[in-house]
Amino acid sequence: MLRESQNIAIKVLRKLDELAWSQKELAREMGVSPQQISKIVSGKENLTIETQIKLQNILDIPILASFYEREIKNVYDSIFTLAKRCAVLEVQVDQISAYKTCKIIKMDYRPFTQEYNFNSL
Amino acid sequence: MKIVCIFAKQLYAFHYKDEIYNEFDRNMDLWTDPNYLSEFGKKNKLQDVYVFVDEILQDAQVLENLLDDVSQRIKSSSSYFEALDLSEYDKKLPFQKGKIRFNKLRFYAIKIDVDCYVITGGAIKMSQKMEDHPDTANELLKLKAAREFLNSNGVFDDGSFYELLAEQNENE
Repeated sequence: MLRESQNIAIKVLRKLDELAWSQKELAREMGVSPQQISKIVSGKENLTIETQIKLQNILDIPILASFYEREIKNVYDSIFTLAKRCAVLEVQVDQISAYKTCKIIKMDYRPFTQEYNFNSL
Repeated sequence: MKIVCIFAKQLYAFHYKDEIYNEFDRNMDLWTDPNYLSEFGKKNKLQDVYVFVDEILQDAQVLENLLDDVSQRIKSSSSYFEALDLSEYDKKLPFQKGKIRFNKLRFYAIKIDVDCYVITGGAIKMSQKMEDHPDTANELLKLKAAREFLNSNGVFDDGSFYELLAEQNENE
């Protein structure tokens, strides 16, 4: 609950910065006291649905979307993990093809000396 | 200036005159307040204030979880605190910092005995050296003042510390 209130507080503060609004201006727009806004942006207020809808409409931010935001974040995280895995696989494929194309040197015994023929290297 | 109990026999905190809360509650309150954190970020001219706010809120959550474990004696308070610097190791009532890896939040304390600490304050770590940021520089002064207070009240070990607490409670 606390984390949700803190996330809402961050959204509100970020939007106030974008709009260059003070907390007092927001209080006036919402028809509430500045103390009420102060509680909201400190992230410790248990917000009513009514307050959340007011914030959403006045600031034009997705206050009630935390469920979908989490889902979207999970999808992004999965894509990021897959992309990282793909990058590792690409490197491995490159290494395998480099191995295939490299020259294989066969070291034979010289029948006469019974020693390795290093000259062939 | 008085000392209040946070977790019995393990963690105490100073409650300074003119402050509403003791240093433990005051700092935890600030570190979980997005409004305070965004103002702090702007004051310190950080590039992305709200990424910083989110990071600190997460750090505060990690710290809260660890201190929950300390309160339930799953972990000891000495697993969180360490000497502020090498010179503090062999001192009486040494300065301590509460530190979690990759976490910017620091509680500062004085070690009374094994697993017994008094918090003198806390800060968000913003510089390598404490002297290089006004908040941590101030915490250093608070540590010194707290040690002086304990020395002047005859505290040198856990026994004398509990005597001071008992005296304090009698006077209230």
